[in-house]
Order: sequence, then structure tokens, then C-alpha cells
Amino acid sequence: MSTGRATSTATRALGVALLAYAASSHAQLVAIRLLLGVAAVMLLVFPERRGGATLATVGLLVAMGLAFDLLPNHHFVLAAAYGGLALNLGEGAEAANARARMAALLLAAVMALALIQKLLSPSYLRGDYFAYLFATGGLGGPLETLGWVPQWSQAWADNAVKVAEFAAADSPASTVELIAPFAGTHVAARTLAVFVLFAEWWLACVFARAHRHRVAGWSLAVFVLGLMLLREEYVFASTLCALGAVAQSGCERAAPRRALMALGITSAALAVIA
Amino acid sequence: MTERWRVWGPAVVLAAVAVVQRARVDLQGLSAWKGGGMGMYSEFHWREREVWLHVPDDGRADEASFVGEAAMVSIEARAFECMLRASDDCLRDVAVEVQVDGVHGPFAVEVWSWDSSSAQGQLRLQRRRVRAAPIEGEPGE
Repeated sequence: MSTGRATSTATRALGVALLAYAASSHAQLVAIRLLLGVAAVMLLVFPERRGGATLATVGLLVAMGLAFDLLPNHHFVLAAAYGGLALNLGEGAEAANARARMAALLLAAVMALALIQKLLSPSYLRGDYFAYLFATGGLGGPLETLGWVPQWSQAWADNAVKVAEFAAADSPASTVELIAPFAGTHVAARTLAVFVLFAEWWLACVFARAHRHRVAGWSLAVFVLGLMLLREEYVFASTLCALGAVAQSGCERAAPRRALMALGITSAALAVIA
Repeated sequence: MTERWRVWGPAVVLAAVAVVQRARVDLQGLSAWKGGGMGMYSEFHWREREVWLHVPDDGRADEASFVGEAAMVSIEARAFECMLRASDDCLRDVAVEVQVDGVHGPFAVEVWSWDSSSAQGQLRLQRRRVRAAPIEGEPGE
């Protein structure tokens, strides 16, 4: 696949992510969603033209102006991605390289920022927050849907009752003991918390320094797959995949890029359906 | 040659947004989940924050405790804002709404976040205070 065609395909992946966002963001104004939907279609049909990326950037920035603090983080990533795309559209290898490098640096920044935020949180570093998510279904929902962990459902149902009692308490000093869905929940939570830190560090490094290496592509694909299995963050997953596909344009091996595109399309579809 | 700013710009802008967001988290009590700082999953979600009105039993704020009178007051939009941005200004706005509602000081408007801890294999769900704004005034009848 030529560099140009690979870039067009990867740019379309960004269009897919935007379409998923527009379709699934029910809290957004309808006008904004329509604007983003039109931009997404333009990106899908005319990936080489600037119009789609520019319209997407404008729509995302307008939404920021209206409700900055209520927007999900992937909104900001998408705005940066489309802004970067609009700045780097053009023919030829130089423009393709610039787009790939822009996407790679953006991915590295997302991972580095997420890592730093977690390092600043004591409850995250203790693993307590992930333990709570495991106990209440905040982590593992897709696994349960796939039928891989049926034994967790009862603990989640019991804990939902306890959480409701906790929420209705008449004093902030009240506490409640939650049931662990499996043996070693807290150890698993802490292990996962540490692993996520390592994974974000690794992805930041590899996309900053070697974004076209197949290891970068496969690393991101594994990270996104893990994210999709643990948590229904499908728009964010689709966005990461799209950025990864653009960053990997020009990679000798097409397999990692194709895997990212397949994951991106799958997560976008799940974002709309779920 | 492509100008460097076109390649680096988006990442630099995102990082700048995150720096500002972090400052707002520390200074204005903004939830780490919001504001573009990539802080999702670093702490409990902002919807797991609550606005509490603490009215001490004997009307003296310096002996305030949670053993006595305390009631969760949901003053709709203002309280909702304070869950997202637990700033002193927001809490004072809630206090104004509460006083209009007939509750007179002294009392404290506080934002508490859900929190969890693990000890001896037990997972406990609890709360921690994020911010408090004590309000002076004459004790109610």
C-alpha cells in the first residue's frame, strides 16, 4: 500500500471515530452533533481535502466554548487531532510524514498526560479506586457481557444495593463494606493499576521515538483491546486506534495498522450500538 | 520542509490545556476527570461527589461534628456545579441559596467525594472531604 493510500485510509479512520462520537454523545447539542456528523462524512468521502478536518475542528471548538468543563477527554483529543490534520493535509511523502509524526506526538502526549495524572493520585496508586471499580462493575463489564466471568454478577448486584444504601446515608461519615467479586480483588486491582502506568509510559515513549515501528502499532492494539474488554470506553478506544493508524502510515508492515483500523471500526460500532 | 509548529502544535496545545486543568484541579477543586487534562480513572468520578450542608447541633461552628444534625441539601443547579468544580465561590453560592431557603448560620457547605480503602482484605467505601466553606451568621431558632 502506498504512503498516500495508507494515509487516506488512516484519515478515514479518524472520520469513523468522529462519526462514533457524534452518534453516541447524547449530551451534546443536536446542532453540534449534526455538524460533526457532516464533517465525519466529508472525511470519509474526501480524506485528502481540508474541508472535513477544518469543519470537525470548528465544531469541536464550538462545543468547547459552550461546555468546556463537561466535555469528555476524548473530545479534546479529537479536536487536537483534527486541528493537526487540517494543518498537515497535502500531497506527497513530506505531508504524509508530517501527518504521521503529528499523530504520533499527540498519542504520546495523551499517554504521558494520563500517566502524570495517575501518579498524582494517592487513591489510584494504592489500587483502591480500581478495586472499587472491580467490585461495582466499573471494570470488567464487557467481560461479563461476553460470559467470561459470570460469577462476578452476583457480587455486583449485592454491591449495588450496598452502594445505594451508602449514597442515601444521612452522614458523610457513613461507610459500607463491599463484597470482592473474586479472590484477590485488591491485589489484582493494584497490579492492574501499576500495569496501566507502565503501559502508558511505554506507549508515550514508543510513539514519541519510533512511531512507525511495528512494536508501536501492536503495543497500542493490545492496550486498546484490553481497554475495550475492561471498560466500555468505545469512543476513546476508536480515537486512539485512529491516531495510531495515522501514526503508523508508512510503516513497512501493514498488519499493525490494519489491526488498529479493525479495532477502531469495531469500537466505533460498539459506541453507537451500546 | 513542513514547519515544526504544524507537527508539534496539537500535542503542545493539548499539554498546555492539561497544565491549566491541573492548576484548576488544585486551586478550584475541578474534578480530574474533566477539563481536558486526561485525568480519567485517576480518582473517583465527579458524579460521586456530594454537597453536604453541615449544621452544628449547638450552633457553634467550632464544635461542629457530624454526630449531630447534618442534612444533604440538594440545591439543584448550584450543588451540581459544586460537584464538578468544588470552589469556594461555588460553595458560597450554595450557601446563599440555602439561606434564602430559610436556613441561617452558622453552618458549613462542604463537598465530599466517595473514596475507598482496603485493609485486611476488606474493601470499604467511604467519603473524604474535598472542600468546605464555613458560613457565619446568627444561630437559627
